[in-house]
Amino acid sequence: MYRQKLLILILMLMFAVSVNSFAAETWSSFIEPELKVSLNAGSALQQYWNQYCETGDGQFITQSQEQWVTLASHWIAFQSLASRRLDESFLSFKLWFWPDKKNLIGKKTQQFLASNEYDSFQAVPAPAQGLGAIEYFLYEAPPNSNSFECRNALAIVNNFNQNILNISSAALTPADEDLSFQVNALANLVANADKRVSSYHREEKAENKYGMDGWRSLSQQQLLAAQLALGSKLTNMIANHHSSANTKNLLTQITKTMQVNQAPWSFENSIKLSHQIHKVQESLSKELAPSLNVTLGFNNSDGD
Amino acid sequence: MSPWDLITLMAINRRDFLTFSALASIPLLMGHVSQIKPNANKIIGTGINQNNQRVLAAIDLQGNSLFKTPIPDRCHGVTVQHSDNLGLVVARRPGKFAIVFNSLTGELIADIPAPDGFIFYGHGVFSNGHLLITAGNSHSDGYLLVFSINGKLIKKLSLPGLGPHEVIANKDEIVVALGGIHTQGREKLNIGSMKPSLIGIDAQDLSLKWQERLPAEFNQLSIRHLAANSKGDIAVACQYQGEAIESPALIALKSKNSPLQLINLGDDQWLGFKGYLGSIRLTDKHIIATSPRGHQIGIWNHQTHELINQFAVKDVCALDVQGDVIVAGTGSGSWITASTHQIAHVKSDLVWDNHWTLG
Repeated sequence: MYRQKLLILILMLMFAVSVNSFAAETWSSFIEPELKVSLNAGSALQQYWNQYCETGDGQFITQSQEQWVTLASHWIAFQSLASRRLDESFLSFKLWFWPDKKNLIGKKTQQFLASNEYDSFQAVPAPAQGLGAIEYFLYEAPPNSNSFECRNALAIVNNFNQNILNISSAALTPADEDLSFQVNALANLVANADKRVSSYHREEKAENKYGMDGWRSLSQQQLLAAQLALGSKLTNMIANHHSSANTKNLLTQITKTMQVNQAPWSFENSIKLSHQIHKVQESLSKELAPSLNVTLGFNNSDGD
Repeated sequence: MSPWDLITLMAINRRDFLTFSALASIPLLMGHVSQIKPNANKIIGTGINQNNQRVLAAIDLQGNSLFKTPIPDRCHGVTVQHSDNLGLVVARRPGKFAIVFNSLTGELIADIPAPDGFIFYGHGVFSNGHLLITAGNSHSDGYLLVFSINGKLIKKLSLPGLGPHEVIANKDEIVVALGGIHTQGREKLNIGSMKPSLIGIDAQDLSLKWQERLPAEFNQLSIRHLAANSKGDIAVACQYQGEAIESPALIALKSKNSPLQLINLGDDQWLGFKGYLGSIRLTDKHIIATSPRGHQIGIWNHQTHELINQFAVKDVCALDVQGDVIVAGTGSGSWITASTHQIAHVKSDLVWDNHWTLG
């Protein structure tokens, strides 16, 4: 059932995006709605969790979990594209801590929940501050209501919301409307997706459920699909801004290749998805970027 | 109007971010930054031009091109011997060539192929009228190959470790980073057993004077890039071969009277550098390093090791410093000049590779 729902969701996300609907879209009108959904979901999560802490009613945990999935789906997609604002915030690891091979999220969050030694979040370890920390206490170790731990958990949510509010407050610049910035952002998003899926199948050697985001909430595929759907949306936006038939065809091919239709999810299908993503990466670097006269930054991925 | 007049402020740093966010209704482009210029008159590095060709290039400090000389393949380290107007650029690992050039004109003086059975590892240095280039054999055993200025191989000096990388001259010593990694092409083969180290060699007779390692728990911290200041202190920039998110400190210091040791920061302070520093410089006051993976320049107090400031710069790696002025190149078509507290961006018609030097 879960897989069917997921497949429907993915298909809806992919096909809801029509090329014509983005003809006049700017980067601001493209990216800001993603952020707004994150802010709204974060705010709702905060309210539901507060109500849980006050009343102990389990339905508020369920509602908090639903908001977490919405928040995480939109945030991870936003985070992959909004690299400039993230880089300038120096907050990215405090918002989303990945990969977490040593379960630092679980250990550090548990320590923080039980602690009263922190005056501010400046000193709280990064793994205990991000969406992973919220996912941990929502899904793996919900504290008792009316408890010290429950209030600390609420503080994590409040701090997270404040951090993304700060990022949303950082102004966009004219450079964000630049084609080069957008193509590089797309390349970054695809690279992030590749890292997750490759980590999941350990370079095609064995399944590693911890490799993808959202394993505690079993929302891994939903988060990945949301990320690639936003990539498709951006691809369409770029296509609409460029009249060359060749470039548009190339972008259409990239959009098609980014469709996550490897259902049911399995180790084998994750490898197939990796190959699809690698095709997208190759098209981006060898065809699209040269055809648009855009340089993909290379020092960040290819140093020595 | 020169590019300097077109510089726009991009003064987002760690301390400013929250304040800046609160003032978000104020446009980002708040005004012109005061000009920050070093005394040197040019920057020499390698990169890719608008025709997608690899070039050795120099620009003046207004960003005007002084020369662009085509080169056969991607290069890495570049160094200059000012007294003779000579430059040396070494192909990126696994490199097959190095080039000696006129640092005023870009004219090629000597083409140095890697000797049979060796590949160059990306860096070299002028020393006592010779060229010293880091190299390795098929097992990544470290060597320092000694050439005459016109490219004649004079000596193959075996080094006590695998995977050498940057080599610098420091007073009467040659200092070499031994990264510890056995590679085949670009593939890393021994991450679980690597043992990086730093060595000092007598500049006159090339005898080994000392070898130092970090504690064994940091064996996955590959020692790769080096800098020295006027006092002979050495700063080491490392690249962590484990998960970036678990990265330990990435900078180590050594001076004549103290052993190689990592500088300590809070656990989270290194996260933004993503386990990877690409270039480093050391002055009497500051340590400056770039992280192309974290898209950051970090500036630390040399004495207290406090992280003074961080600037977010997309794809930044190439770095040099003169006095308190920092110049850094990016792989996305720009370069920057900065002091400890402000930074200005200049557009470039080149994308700059990992290293460059002021001249």
